[in-house]
Amino acid sequence: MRGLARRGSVTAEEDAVDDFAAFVHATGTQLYRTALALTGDHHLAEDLTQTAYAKVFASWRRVRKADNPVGYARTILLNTFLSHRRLRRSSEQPGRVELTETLTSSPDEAADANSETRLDLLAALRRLSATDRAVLVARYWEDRSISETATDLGISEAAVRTRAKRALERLRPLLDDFSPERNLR
Amino acid sequence: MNASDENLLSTALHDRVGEATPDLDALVLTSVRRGGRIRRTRFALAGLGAAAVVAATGIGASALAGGGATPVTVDSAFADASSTTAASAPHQLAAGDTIKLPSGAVAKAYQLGQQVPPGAWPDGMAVQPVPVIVIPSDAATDDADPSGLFVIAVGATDADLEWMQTQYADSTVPILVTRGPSTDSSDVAPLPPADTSPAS
Repeated sequence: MRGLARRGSVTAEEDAVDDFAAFVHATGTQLYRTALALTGDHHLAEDLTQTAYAKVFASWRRVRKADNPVGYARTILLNTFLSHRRLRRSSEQPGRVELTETLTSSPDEAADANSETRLDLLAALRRLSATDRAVLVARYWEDRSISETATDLGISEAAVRTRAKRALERLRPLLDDFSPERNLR
Repeated sequence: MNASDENLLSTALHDRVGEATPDLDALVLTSVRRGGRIRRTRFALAGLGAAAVVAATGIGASALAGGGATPVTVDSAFADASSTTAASAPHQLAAGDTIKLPSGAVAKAYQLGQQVPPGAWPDGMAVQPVPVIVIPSDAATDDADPSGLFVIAVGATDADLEWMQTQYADSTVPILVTRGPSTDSSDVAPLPPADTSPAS
């Protein structure tokens, strides 16, 4: 009897893992890209995504029944990112983006204006505060509305507008470089 | 800020991260493993909370009885032990086992989450803080059922706890050990970092 109960428990656990694996395969790429936009680093993005999914799996029985498991996973990812950044805040200070801090590492890359700008964009994003970065990523990568972004991040809509404006102003020099008109010149 | 800036940023972000592809199979494996650890940690902490609540209830009941309750000693609390190993420990600990520690103190194992019977801790002990050590369980398989043991070792010395660490270093289930309630906060051994920490 006890063996049967244990076997049933094991089967239920296997089902949960299969279900979770399907969920990760359906949502993992998008979540990983969001993590990459937030962290600007592939290794950090992998770790952030793994941590978020681990937390989701720890509560999977509850999450799978939720109305919006994807939204739950996104929120976990954002909160994990923000709490981690708070811990490490002392090591990075937000400031004006310096375009001299290019990350080009080879003549080929230097010759490729778009490649250089892409690298610089992530470097520039990393110089912003964690919340500013999260606002930009939610608004302009995930196309979330101001209201949704405010809810996701637990800040007011006015704060979302202010932070987005301020952060975009800091990034403007880079965006000018990225402009197609300039690249055609 | 204008619409042009917003469009440019959106384009730039899609250009930069829009083609990044993670290894989803590895992501599943790692997440399940780490998630299992988080779940077991939560489970263990819930067991600790239950034990503390039971102890508090026992103390409260004794106080309400005006001291008329029969004092429960550690020995009597363990009198119903199903098996006792003299001065040694079972190789793989199971709920209900008792362990005779080198100092002579006796410890008893409970299933995590199990209601600890009143009297497991002597009356009169304060409830907080609860000194606890966790025996690392590297051998624990991550896909195993979230199970674990909670060992109450009233009167155990530091040497006893070190001895237990040695005895059960290869335990296949997590084991939490407490010496019982104490009023000495310096007696609290830190828990190892739970796997709920942010990415690092």
